[in-house]
Amino acid sequence: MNKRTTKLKVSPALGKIDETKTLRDLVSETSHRPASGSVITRVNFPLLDEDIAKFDQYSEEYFALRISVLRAGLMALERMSEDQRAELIREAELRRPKPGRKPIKK
Amino acid sequence: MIILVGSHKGGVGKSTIYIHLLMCLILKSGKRIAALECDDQHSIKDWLDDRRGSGIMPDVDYYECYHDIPAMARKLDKKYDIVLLDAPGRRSPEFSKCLSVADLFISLVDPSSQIEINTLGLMVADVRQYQASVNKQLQAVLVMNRCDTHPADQDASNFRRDIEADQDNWLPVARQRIYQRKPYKRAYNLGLSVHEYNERGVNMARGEIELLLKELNLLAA
Repeated sequence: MNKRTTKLKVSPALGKIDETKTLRDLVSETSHRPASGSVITRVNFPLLDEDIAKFDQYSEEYFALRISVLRAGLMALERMSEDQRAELIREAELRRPKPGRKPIKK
Repeated sequence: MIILVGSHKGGVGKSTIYIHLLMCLILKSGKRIAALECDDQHSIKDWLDDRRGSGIMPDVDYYECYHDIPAMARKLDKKYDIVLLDAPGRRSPEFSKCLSVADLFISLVDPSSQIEINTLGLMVADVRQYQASVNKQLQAVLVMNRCDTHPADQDASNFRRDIEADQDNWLPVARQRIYQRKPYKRAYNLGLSVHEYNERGVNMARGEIELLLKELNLLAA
């Protein structure tokens, strides 16, 4: 019953007290936001309705986010040979939709 | 006066002891007491719902706040003599905000539990950080909870002795201990506090709560 089984452990943080810290600093230290949240960048680019439909089709078939479908496309490009990749990107570039107003029929 | 009952770890008995301290202050101090819940687990609200559902009097002046806790606590502090804060049992933004506004911080620890003792080091560092920066008037005390009632058990005495031998790195420990007693939990289960509950051994529990509050100068000696 009298045998010691516990011991105190001093925290190294005790030697790092900073008198200049504000409540905002202290609160943000205790917020557990995911690390990945700080590394993403939002981009905006034009897509055709059929591109979006394809995204949604793959997304629904495989229970994945649209961004995962896009990443899978990039991964597929990575796995191709340089020639195949250049050919495919060239083909997509030639079929690229031209944004803007539709021509007026005279 | 703003008092925080909290811990860096859940499951230390914080909410259970909180309601016994709260009701003892309401029933015995003659002061105006408010309960401010800042823990979204709502342990105090659940207990109070049972109490109100059973029509138990007196009622508690209960408030909730999870965002601008300092402003809410200060507002209540103008209206009440004591505002008792219940913070989440983890190192969280809510706990930080409570610590920034509290006059007294009461933290519970089981002196036989190394898993609880392990969380104390960082908690003490946090208290010192707040005392040095945003809350210079903050007082803090450790209360030994769930102490073994066996007369030969030395864990609580050893824990207190170790802390007192290294006071620079730790917080003061209250002389009054809270022992492992069933009435604490059984009273909670019925929407009561030990001061409103009758069972064999409940007098010991009442005495512990009252003596602790007297030691902390929250109840007249």
